Amino acid sequence: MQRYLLPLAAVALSVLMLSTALAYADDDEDFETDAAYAEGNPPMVPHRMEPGATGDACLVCHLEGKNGAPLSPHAVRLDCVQCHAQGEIKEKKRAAAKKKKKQKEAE
Amino acid sequence: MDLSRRDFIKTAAAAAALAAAAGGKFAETAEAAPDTSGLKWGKAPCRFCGTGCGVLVGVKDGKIVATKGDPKAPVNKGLNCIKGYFLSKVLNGKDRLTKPLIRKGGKMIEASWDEALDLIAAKFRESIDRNGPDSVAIYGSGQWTVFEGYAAAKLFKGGIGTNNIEPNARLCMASAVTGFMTTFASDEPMGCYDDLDVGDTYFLWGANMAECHPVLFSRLIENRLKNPEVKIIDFGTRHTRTSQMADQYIKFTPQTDLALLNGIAHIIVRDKLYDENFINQHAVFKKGKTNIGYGLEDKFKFADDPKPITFDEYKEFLKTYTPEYVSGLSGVPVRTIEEVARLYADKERKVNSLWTMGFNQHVRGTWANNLVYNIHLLTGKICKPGENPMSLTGQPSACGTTREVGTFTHRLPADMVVTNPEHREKAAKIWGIDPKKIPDKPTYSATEMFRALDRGDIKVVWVQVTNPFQSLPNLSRYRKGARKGDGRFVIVSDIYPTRSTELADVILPSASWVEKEGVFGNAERRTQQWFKMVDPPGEARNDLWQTIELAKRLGYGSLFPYKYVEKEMWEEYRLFNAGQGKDLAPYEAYTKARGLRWPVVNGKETLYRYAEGHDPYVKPGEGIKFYKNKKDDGKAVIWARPYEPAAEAPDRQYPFWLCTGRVLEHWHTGTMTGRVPELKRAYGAAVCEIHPEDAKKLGVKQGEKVKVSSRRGSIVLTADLRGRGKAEKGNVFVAFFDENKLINELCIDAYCPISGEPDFKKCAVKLEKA
Repeated sequence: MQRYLLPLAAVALSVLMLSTALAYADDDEDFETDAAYAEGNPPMVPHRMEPGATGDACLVCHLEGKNGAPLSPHAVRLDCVQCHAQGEIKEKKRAAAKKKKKQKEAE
Repeated sequence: MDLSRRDFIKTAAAAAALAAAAGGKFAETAEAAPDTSGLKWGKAPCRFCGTGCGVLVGVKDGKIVATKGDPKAPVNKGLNCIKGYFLSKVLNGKDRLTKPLIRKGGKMIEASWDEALDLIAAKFRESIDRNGPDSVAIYGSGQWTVFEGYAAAKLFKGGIGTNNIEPNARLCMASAVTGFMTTFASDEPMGCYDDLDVGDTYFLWGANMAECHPVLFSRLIENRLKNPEVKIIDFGTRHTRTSQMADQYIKFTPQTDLALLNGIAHIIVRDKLYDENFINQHAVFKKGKTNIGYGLEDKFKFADDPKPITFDEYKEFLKTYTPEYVSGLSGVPVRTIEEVARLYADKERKVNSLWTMGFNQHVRGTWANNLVYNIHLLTGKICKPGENPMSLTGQPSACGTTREVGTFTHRLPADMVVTNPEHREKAAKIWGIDPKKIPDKPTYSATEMFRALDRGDIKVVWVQVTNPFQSLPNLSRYRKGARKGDGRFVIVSDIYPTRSTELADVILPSASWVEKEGVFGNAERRTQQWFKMVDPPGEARNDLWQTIELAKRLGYGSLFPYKYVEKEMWEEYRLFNAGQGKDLAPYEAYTKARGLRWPVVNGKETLYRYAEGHDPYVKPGEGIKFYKNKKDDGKAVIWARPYEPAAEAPDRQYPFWLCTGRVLEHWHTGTMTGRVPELKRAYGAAVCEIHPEDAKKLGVKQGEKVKVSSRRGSIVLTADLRGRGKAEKGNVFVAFFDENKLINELCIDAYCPISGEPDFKKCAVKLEKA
């Protein structure tokens, strides 16, 4: 009888450890695949945003693509500005690039 | 344009389908997307707020190249906020600290680690020998990893033998802690983020969630989009983006939240809307001292004197708080107070309350926390899925490190306190030291610690992972105090030059986030682990290593006999929590999972504490049991806490309320976010939010300069009359992230006598055209 106790205990311990490990295992880690499924990073807003703007204001154009506004590649969310913050304003960028070009031509 | 919600949902669904089918015109990115091929990816919780979003970090050639919201993370399901999306840039600022620096002749000179650490150890030894162990201190952080906090607590309490350890969480969550401890005898929420998805009524109290917990706010908005009966009600002292998106914005006079909470309880009791059964089974009533002071004098001491009262005595106490009285104080219409009370008590509604700094950074912060719990206890809306009071946490590990490890002057791990001899005995046993080593008296809360430095009672202070010389209230006093000389020695461990490193005698370049292995614990009790993924720059080292190096030099190296430090330290720390209703899983579990909510028993995490079927510590048949409160037989406490005025209300000379806080794009003192060009561009400098009518009386127009002064300091700011946050009349708001605009110089260092947490939301200022 005693001869079997040790191997029995070993088996029981292995089963316990295996089940514990399985309890915690969160599939086999494949962060590469997870990253591939992740959304891209949100673009900054290239036009002036009204300071009080929230989703309702943004979606006036961006819900249906009015005035050439891009449609969102992700499902509609209402709190746009938590991710899409004010970026460099296109008109200012264009004006700055124009000025630089003029300066270069003058040299 | 007025888009009705029904139309919106219809078109939203249609648009989503259309976009998916037709693959519409995608947004142009401002710059080319980074090449994400050949990257090694790993998981980590976000470096920023207490939400604890899951992030995937992509590393190439030893550098963080990209981060993404982790689609597998239950907290955020792939979403981040704007700060989280820039995590890859946050550690790459040009002026990263890379070498230890020692102040010599007024200049910071580069030194080796040995030179710096030997000097620090010598200063510690000298001060301990000359002035005793209470002359040295460490000021840590809710951004400390669990390991860093545990090492500091063990060294200072178990080695040096002083309770002079305090975290910056004293400035943000202390009132939440004392609220939990006095109501439930155990820290941290009973609910979890799942409540955001399954409830239908959400009261936000002085919490600008849209900017400060954006991903959690998104969960609320998502819930409401799917379930139109969901109501979000925003109680605030200023109109924010949160107010804009809420169903109802209720403005109230600062400080009167105390009266409003009692007012709601008054109506619930008056109209017998309470759950009598629940109260009989699960609650007791108590009162404490009143007129408890404001902590304005150095070495202010307060000890409450709780006394049991009856339900009838509590009803008698509530009689003062009639809707008319509360309306007069707060400015909230009587009808609104009645409606809110009915909503809270509505048996068909699953009600949640959410709060952070509005309640916590409050001279009666503990009381405010008690009072919101009262409402949930009176109505029995607690410990049930979708119905919970949820205290939101500000920092990524104020819970996991400072509160759970207990890096406060009065604390030991797992809710234990230094004043209890059994607790000291248990800590000493686990730490392998003589229990007499741990001092039995708390010394200073954070504010008092820096007062002690100013007076010279503390000579040596080590600051890790925080920026007190920008974030303390009544800031000027403490900035001057740090440079008074006469044996004072300030060490600052940080990753960038800050308003604190500029006052240091030694600066130690530190590793941050995924430059070291770590564990954080978020607001919903979710403990999350990450591995080191990149090396810190130059000679920067992990704060954990720095603390252990000091320990060795002071002769306490035996407290840290670990080979694989993090894992072995974790297994030792776990012993404190085991069997206490705060159980943590073995280390490997966290390396695999996207976090686990404690108590974790037999591999199973707990969503709802104190609830049968969820919390393994609640026995079958018990239903709900607040089992940590043994003193009151597993019942929670309904506290009779009165309205008491603010420490410094507006008067003739200083007629405005000043409130301070955060904005979406910047985190805390902006040392990290301020170095990301896109975030800096999105919100560059702190401004002064003023109501247009107040501005008109001053002759100040949008964008003009205004001088804001309190009894303690003065600052010139650009006036903002129509920003994203709109001040109410008689109020101004200034964010504290701007290192060039130290608004905290104006703040008053009054604090809640029970929690020690300063009131950053209320003091009196005057405005002048500048």
